[in-house]
Amino acid sequence: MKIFNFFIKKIFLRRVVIAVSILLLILLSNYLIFISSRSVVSTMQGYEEIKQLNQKNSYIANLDPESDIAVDRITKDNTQRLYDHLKEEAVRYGILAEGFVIDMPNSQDMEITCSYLNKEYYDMNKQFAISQGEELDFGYDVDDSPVIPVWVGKGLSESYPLGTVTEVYEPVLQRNVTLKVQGILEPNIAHSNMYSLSSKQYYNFSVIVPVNEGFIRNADIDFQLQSLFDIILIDTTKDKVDEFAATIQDELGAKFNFCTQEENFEYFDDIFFSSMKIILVITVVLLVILSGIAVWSSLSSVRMMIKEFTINLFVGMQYSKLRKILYGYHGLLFLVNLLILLGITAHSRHGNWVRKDSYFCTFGFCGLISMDWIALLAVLVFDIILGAILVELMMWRIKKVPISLGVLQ
Amino acid sequence: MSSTNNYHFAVIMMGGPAGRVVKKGINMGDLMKKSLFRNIDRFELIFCYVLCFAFSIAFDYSRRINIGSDYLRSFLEQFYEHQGAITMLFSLVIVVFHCRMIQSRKTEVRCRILVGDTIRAVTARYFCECLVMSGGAFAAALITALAVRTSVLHIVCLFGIMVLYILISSGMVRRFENI
Repeated sequence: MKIFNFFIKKIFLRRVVIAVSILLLILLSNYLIFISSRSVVSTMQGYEEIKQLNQKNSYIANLDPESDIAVDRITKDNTQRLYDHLKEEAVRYGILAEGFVIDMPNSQDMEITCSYLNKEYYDMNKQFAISQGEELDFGYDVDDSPVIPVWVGKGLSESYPLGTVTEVYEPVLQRNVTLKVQGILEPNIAHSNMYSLSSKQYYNFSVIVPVNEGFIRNADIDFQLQSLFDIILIDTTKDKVDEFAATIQDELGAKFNFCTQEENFEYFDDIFFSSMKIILVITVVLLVILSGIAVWSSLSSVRMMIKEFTINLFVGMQYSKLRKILYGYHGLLFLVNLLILLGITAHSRHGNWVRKDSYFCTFGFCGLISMDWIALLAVLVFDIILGAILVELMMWRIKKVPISLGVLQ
Repeated sequence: MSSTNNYHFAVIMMGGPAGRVVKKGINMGDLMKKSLFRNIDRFELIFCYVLCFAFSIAFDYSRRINIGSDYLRSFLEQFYEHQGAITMLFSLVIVVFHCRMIQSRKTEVRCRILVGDTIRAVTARYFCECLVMSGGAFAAALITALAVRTSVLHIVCLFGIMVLYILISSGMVRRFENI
């Protein structure tokens, strides 16, 4: 330990500019690995979620990119007729509508949004898990029953604990209703964007509202229209789907595509694998450059410190001891880098809390969530490999210089 | 301004005896002959400059073009947030080069002083040569940036940082006078 301290203080830190420069250059490659690993993990999570929704004989809607929709010309009668059509044809459908702001004061002073889902969607998507409370109840009658049972995110559990009953203005029904907290979501429950699998929004400050037929009938046009954009038709036939698409064309004047399970898998596989390919290519190219720079910088530092190294070898230090010291020194560099990375990530996560960006606020140690820790683990593995390469190359360089020549320098 | 004039200007800036320089008639040939740089050093330094500029242009270019994939855009946006810091960190490779270069030429500088050279002239030559190399890389980067229609602001800032590194490293050369 004494020799290690001596090497750190008197040799490595004597050239502090070099030490800091190498530290920061390695930090750059670590940051790249971190971002790439996190994107990969997030994309895989998104892909898993899509796989749950994409079932046999199910059709997921999406607005044709070539088709425009004139929202101002559409009335509630138009949208309601579409839901009536589904009812007449006995077609089951899953819907999720998000982003409706509700006025619910809370201890964190966050903007609270409601996410509405029906039973079919809830049954398909296994993302929603609760830490306390009961299953969602979709059987209430919005006309008769004054109370709507809801789930709330973990961030709201302090202001609205389990069993809380509160009267609020419901943005979709556009009237005052009573909400009863029936369950608290587990921390960091998220939903991935279907068309950008790595993008997520977290439900820590959301209210999950179960919707049924009566609710949809009473809801405003914005809700009815938004629900249609990603509607999933379940256990149905191609004929019925085509008929529904034609009805949409008549009522809304817009063309909707309904893709089969195979088409969806093809599409999402294409997105998934092309995304992975893009990340891989960018990461490998930059990593080769940055690792090359790190190796070059380390060899440069050996050239500058060769005198000190050879003097110590001259007075009896073994190569194995020197190797251990170099490993220790690089271990220290990587530890500092990991801590800096952790600090940057924690700062970035904390920024969402400061900006009151409720969709991105997360819970965990320093706000870090599972994908951050997995990415940090990937960085650690990369550092171990890079550290081994750097130390062995440095040892090779040191051994190449005869001790007598090195001392004379 | 030609390279020779650049050199004279640099000597004046360093407080050197411009008259003496003119009298001795040091030109580009002397600059190369008495340079602290070997060919491999020049190659390494120019490579570092080009790499930094190329990195900055690639960054700006990827921002400018319309990336079709949402996924790629959201991936790259995580880097755009810290573009300035990343470019700055990348330029540290130049700092490593300067430190190593100056450290390894310590004895050579002393020997030059022993045979009648002055520390000011050595420093000025070093400063000038670095400036010429970085200036060349900057000019090439500027033309490339204009050709691909990316912002030149980051390149100009990067060049400013490089000049700062050169000035600091030149100051380190001057320190050898007291050794």
